[in-house]
Amino acid sequence: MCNNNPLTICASRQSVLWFTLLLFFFSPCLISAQSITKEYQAKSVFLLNFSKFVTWPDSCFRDLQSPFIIGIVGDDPFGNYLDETVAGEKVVDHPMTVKRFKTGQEIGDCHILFINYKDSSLVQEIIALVKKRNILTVSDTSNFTSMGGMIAFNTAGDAIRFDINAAAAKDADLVISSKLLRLAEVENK
Amino acid sequence: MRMESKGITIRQRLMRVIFWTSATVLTLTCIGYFTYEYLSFKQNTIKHLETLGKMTAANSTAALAFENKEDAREILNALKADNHIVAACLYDKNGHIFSTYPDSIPAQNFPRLPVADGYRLSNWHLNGFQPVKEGNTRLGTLYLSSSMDVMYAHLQLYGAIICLIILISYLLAYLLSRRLRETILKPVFSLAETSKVVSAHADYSTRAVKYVDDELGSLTDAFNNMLAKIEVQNDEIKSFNMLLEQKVSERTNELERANNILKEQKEFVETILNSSIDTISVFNANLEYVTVNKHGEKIYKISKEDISENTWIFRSGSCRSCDAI
Repeated sequence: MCNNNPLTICASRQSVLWFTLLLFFFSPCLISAQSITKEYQAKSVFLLNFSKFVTWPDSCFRDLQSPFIIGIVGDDPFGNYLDETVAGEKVVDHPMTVKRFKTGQEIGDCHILFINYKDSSLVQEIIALVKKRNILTVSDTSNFTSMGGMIAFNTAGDAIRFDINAAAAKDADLVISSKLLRLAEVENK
Repeated sequence: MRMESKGITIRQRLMRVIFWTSATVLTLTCIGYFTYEYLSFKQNTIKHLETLGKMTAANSTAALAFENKEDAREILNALKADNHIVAACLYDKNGHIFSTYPDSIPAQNFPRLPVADGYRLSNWHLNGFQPVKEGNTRLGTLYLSSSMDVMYAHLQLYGAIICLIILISYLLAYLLSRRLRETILKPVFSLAETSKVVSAHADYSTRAVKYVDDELGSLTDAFNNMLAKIEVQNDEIKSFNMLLEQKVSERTNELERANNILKEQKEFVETILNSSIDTISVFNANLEYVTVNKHGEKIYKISKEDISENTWIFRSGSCRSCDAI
């Protein structure tokens, strides 16, 4: 076939070959990125649902119309998905909203705080900062509950599970529904 | 007025009336009770299932919210404590089957999608859909299917008891009516028997026995009074007849005596007339011969029989003796 128009046809074959090779090498990364997105899509729904099974004291809302804030500190793994998930949702009469904080010092009014740091010392620092502030702390970090965090996601196969540090939640005056506790590995320290 | 069918005694008619009245009342009462029992049992079963559904749905919220199938399975498996529940299923908020109970029933045997909330009776089962909500957020749907075998077994038992009660009641009604009807029929039969005796032997001295002091007692009294009056009138007629007969007899005797006297007088007159040697004729106002003596018979050559058969009229010149007279 290269005899009729050898240059053109051979060039075309080469590009197909290169494309196939590229796809072969990068496909695991694409699949992995896609599964990460799916994981955080599920986690954003979980963050929304935590608001239904945890009761915050009235004092942490300025008024009836003040928003219910989900904060993210560290890199944002949810993209726009979390904003889309909570759009139009309410906790009692408080409209839900998402705020992103670059550092611990920036953390202002917040009800659920997702801590996304790989460095456990940073995580501990944030935990110490928000302690006794009626904030439900959530993270992917391993041993998060042992560090004084309240809810730690863990992945068992395809399923997302979580551990709960009931004592930490109690210290922050948060009441976690027994229905939520039944689904979790509960720690009391 | 329509005549009742022949050949049925008042006893049988009374029994029929009592039996059909009792049977109709009893049957209607039992149908009423049965219907009430069916409706109330159905309503209670629905209420029970609704309560169970609400409890299960309330427990299932977290399992659906956090997609925890093990927890959902565990919650649904708790339904085995209620042996009426034959199947249960949790649908997620998109209407996909999330968890089923029991494991022996494959998922494709459950309704593919949840339909309108509420419970409905179909195919001997009570099936229904219950929303699974946390606060105002709907997280999914619970499907429950309850067997109605218990209800139908209960209704069968109830039906059997009702039939037994009806049978016993019929028997009691029959026995009681047999006994009670005699209190009504005894005075009637007494009246009938007395009227038969009166009719057959014209014996108005017979009286019906009074058993009760009610309308039938009054009827017996009226019947007996009527008989008493007829008896009195009968006696009066009899005594009048006797008196009349006696009077007739006396009058007859008087007449016989008068006849005899007249006969004797007639014979005496005839003897006097016949012993006369002259012709003696007697005429009535129309101048017709009434009698003639023997001498006259010889002269006129007639007999007394001729005089009695034919009317002999006296004419001037036709009878010489007339002139003589």
